[in-house]
Amino acid sequence: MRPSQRLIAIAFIAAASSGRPVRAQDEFPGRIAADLGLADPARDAPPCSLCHLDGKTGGDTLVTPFALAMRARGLTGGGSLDQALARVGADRVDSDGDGAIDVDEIAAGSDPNSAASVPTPGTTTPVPDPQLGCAVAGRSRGDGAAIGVVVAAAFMWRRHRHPRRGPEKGKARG
Amino acid sequence: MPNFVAASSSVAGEAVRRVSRRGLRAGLIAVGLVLSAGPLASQAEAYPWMIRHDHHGCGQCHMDPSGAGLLTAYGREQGDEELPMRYRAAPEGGDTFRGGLLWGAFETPDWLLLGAGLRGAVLETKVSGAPVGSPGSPSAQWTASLILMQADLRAGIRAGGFRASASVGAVNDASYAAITGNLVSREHWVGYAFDHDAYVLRAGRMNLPFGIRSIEHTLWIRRETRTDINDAQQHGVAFAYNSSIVRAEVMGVLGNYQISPDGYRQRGYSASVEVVPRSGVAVGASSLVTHAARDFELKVETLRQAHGLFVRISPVVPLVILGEADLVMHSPAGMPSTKGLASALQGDVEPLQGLHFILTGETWTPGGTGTASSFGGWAAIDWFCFRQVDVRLDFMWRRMAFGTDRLDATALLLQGHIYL
Repeated sequence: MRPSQRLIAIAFIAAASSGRPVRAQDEFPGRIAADLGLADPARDAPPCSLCHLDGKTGGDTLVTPFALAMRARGLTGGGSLDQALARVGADRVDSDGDGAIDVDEIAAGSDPNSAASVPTPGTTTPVPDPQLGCAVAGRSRGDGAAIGVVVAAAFMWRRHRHPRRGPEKGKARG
Repeated sequence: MPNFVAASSSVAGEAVRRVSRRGLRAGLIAVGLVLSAGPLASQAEAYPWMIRHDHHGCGQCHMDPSGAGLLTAYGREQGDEELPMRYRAAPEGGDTFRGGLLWGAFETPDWLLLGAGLRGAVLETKVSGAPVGSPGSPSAQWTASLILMQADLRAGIRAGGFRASASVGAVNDASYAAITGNLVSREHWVGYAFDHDAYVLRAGRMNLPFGIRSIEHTLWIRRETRTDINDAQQHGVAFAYNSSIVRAEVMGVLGNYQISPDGYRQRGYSASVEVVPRSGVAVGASSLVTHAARDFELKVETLRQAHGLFVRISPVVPLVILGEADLVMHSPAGMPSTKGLASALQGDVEPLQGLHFILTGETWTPGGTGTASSFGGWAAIDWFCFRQVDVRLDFMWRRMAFGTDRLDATALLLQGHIYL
């Protein structure tokens, strides 16, 4: 590898590795759990998808129905979280229209953004968000099988278009 | 295959020798810019309004036969010719600028395609409409964000019938395209093209063939069908057909193998077909059915369906009308199914080459008992000020219904975009 190519590779790896890891406001789930008086905030803290679309943390993904309800009631950062949450509770906001208000759903471990997720008696532990990245996703067996189909099809097509020929009569190989 | 390997080795050596020192310096600077910025949500490029230039199909300009992302050599030529604003008449004999990667700084062999996309934005948003709170309680505020929406490197190979393409980029927020940490790969696939690209078989991580593929990935027609080109790609096998009057693609969806556990992966199919009955008119239909043991949004086992129609019309060259409507159905296990409807209608007027005025209206009705509809409007100016560079200003407003809440979201978005 030439020095310039090595430099590009090093720069790329360094940039990709040194960027800030995924981090919205790490303390928000725990603070929400504490504000709602959950017995075990560490275990029962809501997942990131409570506020972040599909669980993808970021400033521009605060668009779940619950997050919008919080933002409409003054959530702009850590200092406004508790008051915005109090307003959501006081207004008895039910973002998914399933009859259970948002703060009750969070306390019960269900998702206030989804009418299909309803409080389940006897449990307060929320459903965790997906883990992201190949490092936790395991072997991509789906990829291997799919690529195998394409390679086989390409090979068969190539054989069809360019069939092998034997040596011409009277001529030795090599 | 052995012939390809031998040929590609000698061609690769020739390619390295042909890269000029100036081009390599420019490339290092570009790579540094792309990777140093730590982007957030990302987009590829997809311009369905190219139908105004009689580009009904997508595969001639893009590696992806259904459009978006890495450009072919022909796609770069057309982009240089038809996108940027003209500030003077073309000289006799035609323009003499060098097209290609980094405005012609790099020469690559015919079988190798390289590209990159860089998009940054300033976003101001406000969510209002909640009942007035008690005195002293916080009220809705404008919030500002500086976003790097895209910083991806892309490469593709076209050698005989063999096709391959991959993108890699960096983010500083979570993404369903994550490989590890901050590194993402939205697309990576191998394939084979038959009969002069009339048929393309691909396998890997790809955009879902569904509806109108455009850069407005937050529209409800894209968001609720989960078919945007941001990071909604899935692993699977896709077969595409392209002719002058029909383009179609069907994909067997095997799931997103860059998330876990397996229960969150959606499996099924997605398909789209578009017919061009006459120049400047294209009509299409899409269908998608997937199942997940645990839907990442609904949090329960769910069968999802989306079926819709779309249309692209250019009655006169400066005007393109895009329309799409999709029926979105969720069938969560043990619960009643819901039928929702997402729709969008967009007009794109280009009075001068390179200057677009875009108006969009959209609706979303989730379905289910007691759910009201949401509406939105979007006005934008997109200025392709130079070759491979555009600046865009968007004003967006949505009136949204969430259960008991009726909220207004207003946003101003200023974007700068370069494709290299």
